[in-house]
Amino acid sequence: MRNEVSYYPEIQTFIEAQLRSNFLASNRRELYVYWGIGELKNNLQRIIIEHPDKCACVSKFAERVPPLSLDIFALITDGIKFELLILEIKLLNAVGLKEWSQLVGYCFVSGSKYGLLVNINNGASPRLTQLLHTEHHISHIQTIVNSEPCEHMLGFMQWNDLTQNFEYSNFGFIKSLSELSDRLAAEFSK
Amino acid sequence: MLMNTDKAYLFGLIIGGGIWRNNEDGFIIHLPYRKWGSYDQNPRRASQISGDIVQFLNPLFRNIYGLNISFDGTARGDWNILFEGDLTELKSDLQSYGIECEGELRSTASIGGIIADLFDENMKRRFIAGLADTIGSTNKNHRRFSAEIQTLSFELKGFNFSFVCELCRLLYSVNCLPDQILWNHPNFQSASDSYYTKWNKGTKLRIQLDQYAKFGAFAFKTKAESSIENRSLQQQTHSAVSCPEREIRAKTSCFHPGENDKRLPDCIRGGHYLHNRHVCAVMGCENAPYDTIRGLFSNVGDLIIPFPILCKNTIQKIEEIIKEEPLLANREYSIANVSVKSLYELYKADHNALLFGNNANNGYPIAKIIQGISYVIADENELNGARPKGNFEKIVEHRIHHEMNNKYPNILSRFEVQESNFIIAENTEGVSYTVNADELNKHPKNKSLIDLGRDLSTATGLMVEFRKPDLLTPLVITGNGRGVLIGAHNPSVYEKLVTIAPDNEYKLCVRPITEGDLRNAK
Repeated sequence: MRNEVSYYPEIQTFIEAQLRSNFLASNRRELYVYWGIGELKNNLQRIIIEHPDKCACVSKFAERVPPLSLDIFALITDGIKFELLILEIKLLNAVGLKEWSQLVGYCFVSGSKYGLLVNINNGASPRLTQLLHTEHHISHIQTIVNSEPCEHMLGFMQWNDLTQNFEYSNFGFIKSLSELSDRLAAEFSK
Repeated sequence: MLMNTDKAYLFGLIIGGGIWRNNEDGFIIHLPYRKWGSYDQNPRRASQISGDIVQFLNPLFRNIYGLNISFDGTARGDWNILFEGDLTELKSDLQSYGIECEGELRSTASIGGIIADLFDENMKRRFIAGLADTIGSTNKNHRRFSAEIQTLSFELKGFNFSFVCELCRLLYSVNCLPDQILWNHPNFQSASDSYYTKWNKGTKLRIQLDQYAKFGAFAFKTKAESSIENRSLQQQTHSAVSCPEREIRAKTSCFHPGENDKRLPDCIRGGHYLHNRHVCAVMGCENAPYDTIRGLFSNVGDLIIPFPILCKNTIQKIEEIIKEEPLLANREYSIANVSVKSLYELYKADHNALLFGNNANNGYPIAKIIQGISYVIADENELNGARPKGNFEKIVEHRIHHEMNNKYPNILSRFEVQESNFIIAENTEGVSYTVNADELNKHPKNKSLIDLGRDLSTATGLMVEFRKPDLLTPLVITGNGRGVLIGAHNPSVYEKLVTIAPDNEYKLCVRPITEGDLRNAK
């Protein structure tokens, strides 16, 4: 019986491949995706040490971010700008508001702009489905932190371990990996 | 248009199954899952297919193009994905790649423009996955020789040969080496019978499932599961060999009038092809084995026959063919009844024997004669149309044995004359039977017992009628209301009919044979 951690590598590989392909198609240059599992701050510092030429832009952020235990996150950078993507991966019959709230909390604390709740081989509870369908503000959250506007864009997707592919739910602000890619591409080309 | 991985998948799906209609139905994606996806034959799989459409495809189309989809299907397994919403953006995206939104896309579209925009291997795989989910058949009967090598077959209707080449190159570019292309061309779909008109069966591009599992992808759970099921039939994993390195075993094929079919692409029309990779060479594929193909040309008289190698049909149809073909109609045929058993013994002694030739290197191949006979003498329940069910040798053996048993129950190899009007046959259990010798009145009583036994098992056994022409045009074999035409092996004559096309050094052209060709050869 597999646990959710055993799915991390295949999900990481898939997301990274899609983001890199799409960035190459839109911006005609490489995108770099570095992964961390577990604590955010230490992992960021490790990534910076391992890839100093690509991740120098993350240094200041890594210094000020609080220690935070996450399932898995991606540091996405073109070497000049960066964004964080937090994944909350679950292996449940249905994910609900509790799991969504966990993702929201992690995004708030880390300042991560992008977050995906991923359930493996299953969908969301009817209540979460209803909420994401009607309450758009819970997946596109805008805050002010230290007088600076801060934005969080979240989505829910289902991982299919048989096809090794995502099934989109169309719930949440980020509805597909290509949409996430578009946003990253636009951001990095500003 | 900006390509992305989701669009790449959808384009694969759309090119594979998309049909633009001029009526209110607008656009559909046809999933040709006949039998495999039939809800009569496999309700569980049909349920999964509907799940793939609703749970996977619907959110994807909504997200990328703002389109809602639904589906309908037939009991035999044809599924249609139906669209609701404004198709303008989708149409515009396709047109930006030079794809005309008319009719069945895979029959006419060039995918060169799309492929050029697939920026890396991952994006290519997404596009291939879309094609595989529509036209990639995982039916269990797609295998190489036995269940041990299972394949995925991309089924491509029509004559869009450049589409096949582009897809093959695309697969190559992600290290997924195709196993074989069965081209929609009479030299492959009807290599033995120049009178078979239903050869337009589409092209099949086959890949070993082991290769596809390693380098390709499916997004439909149904397809992925089916692929895993099929691979489980294999005892081991198989690797693939690239085209230039693979051995080529060319088989003899007959000239077919369909070689000049107007629907064939210009570069292919008018040519005769010795092997599926010979087509690739004429199409200019960089992976084609050019030297090996050219090497076959020295043997072209053995590899091309201007007559049918083996044409099976009703006797009426065979006679019509002869009547309509002056070279066949103007022959004098000598007619003889020939013992099947004696021919079969000859075949068992030498599979390569040539009969009725005028020198050592020509004549009618005994192997084809026995195959033809197996069709002529088979019971209806031993045939699938004109194709014998199972091994043709077994049919011939069974019919010879059956015929003997009908006349002489349990007759074996030892015979004894007891009285002038009877013989005794002895079976393996040692039980004796008497057989009325009046049936054997053509046999002189004073023949040796061994000779009598041989005569019983041949001259009075199963017979077919041979009509042997005065020149080496096809031999006619009839019986049981059926007939066959067998083309002669005659390489020194046939090689003179073949020339190389002026515009393509790999394209062979075959001119029709004349009576003069055959007479002068004498």
